Amino acid sequence: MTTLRCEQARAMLMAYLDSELDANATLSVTEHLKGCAGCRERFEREGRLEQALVATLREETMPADVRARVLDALPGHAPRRMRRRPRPRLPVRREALAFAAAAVLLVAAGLYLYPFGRVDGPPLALRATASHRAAFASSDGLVPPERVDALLRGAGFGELPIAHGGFVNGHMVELLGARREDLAGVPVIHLVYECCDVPASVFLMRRADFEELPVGLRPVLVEGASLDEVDDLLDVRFARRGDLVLAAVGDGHHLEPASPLL
Amino acid sequence: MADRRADFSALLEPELDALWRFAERMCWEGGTAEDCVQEAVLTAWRKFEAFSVGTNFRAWVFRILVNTIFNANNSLRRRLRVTDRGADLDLVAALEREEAYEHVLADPERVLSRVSDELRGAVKSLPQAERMVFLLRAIEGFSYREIADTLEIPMGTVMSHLFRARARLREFLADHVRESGSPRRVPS
Repeated sequence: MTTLRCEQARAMLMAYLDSELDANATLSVTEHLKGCAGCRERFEREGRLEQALVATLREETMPADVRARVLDALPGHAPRRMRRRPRPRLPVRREALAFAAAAVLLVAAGLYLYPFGRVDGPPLALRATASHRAAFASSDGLVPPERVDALLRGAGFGELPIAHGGFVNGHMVELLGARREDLAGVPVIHLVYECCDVPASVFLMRRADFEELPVGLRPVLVEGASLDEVDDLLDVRFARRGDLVLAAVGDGHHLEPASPLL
Repeated sequence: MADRRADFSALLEPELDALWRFAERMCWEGGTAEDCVQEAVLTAWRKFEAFSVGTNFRAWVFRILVNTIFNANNSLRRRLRVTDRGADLDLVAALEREEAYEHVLADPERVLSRVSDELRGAVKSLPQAERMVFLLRAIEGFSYREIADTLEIPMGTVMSHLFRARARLREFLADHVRESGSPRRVPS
């Protein structure tokens, strides 16, 4: 044990109060305090202040609505990818509602969205929705997220940074995996995402691999490409970055149609 | 699956207030704290199979939350590694000569009851690195070693940040007393 002077003891004040000194130093400080009324009072008063500070700052608790949302976001008993939430029929102006999820995904990938219009089901969009549906039904051949970057590099798409997930507009977007596919004769990388338990897809392809841009890079609403029993619909959005063209597929009516992303 | 979910919830739910408190004070923008906690909780759930039951769940889930905050704030990790210990000692030495600070020490509960809202603001205005260490130690009760491991910084750096944060908050309290009363600086 070391005999301490007052300034040495006070230099260890907080570590002593935090019980962070080793046994020898603790003993030295304790012995000093026994014989020094000034330091003892100082330690006691600092300890009392610290306790009062902590008590004041510990009062805050998680709001009940936030707690409920955090716990509700945890997956239930069924595997996440096969779980489907009950979804209502789309209202009359369904074309105004259907684009949000794909927009979320494109923005998550850091992409620029082009102005959109509407046409009905060109082949590439129909194939994209069919492939999207197939990926939801079966994950066969899906490369896990940690190997997606390698898959992209191997397929010549390595220059595009792909978002693996995160929160966009309060919605959790998560990359589930990817695979190489042939889409109406166009080689693509199919990225499978999940947004709020609803699947969504992004297809990467090269501009040079097809003759005409799908509908001049406009989003496409595909009728009848249903995932469920209801007469649901899927939308396909196209975007371009350099030589790459991206198509995003998702049924977005579970998201706010007035999304600022649109 | 159900058992695993129940185990996870049983461990998680007692920590939610602390996770929220920490995230809310480390994140500024509205909604960000909730996003951070939610993302951390989902990450913890996905990694839960790797968690060894019986080890420190609280430290484990806080480490995930801290990493989530790091991901949203790239410069924070670098700032945590920067300290200036010389200035710490000066701050404390100055406080020790403050009559106003003696008033704080004389009746801390009374002073704090008058400034509880402002104190929360003062905590949020601490430099981020100091704030993070202070919250982990003083409010959430982690040891210096646990904080050093979680933040991947040396123990001495933890102590330096903590010391500075505490000194700043004490200075804030002394300022409050000085502005609301008559205490003067004690001649040295």
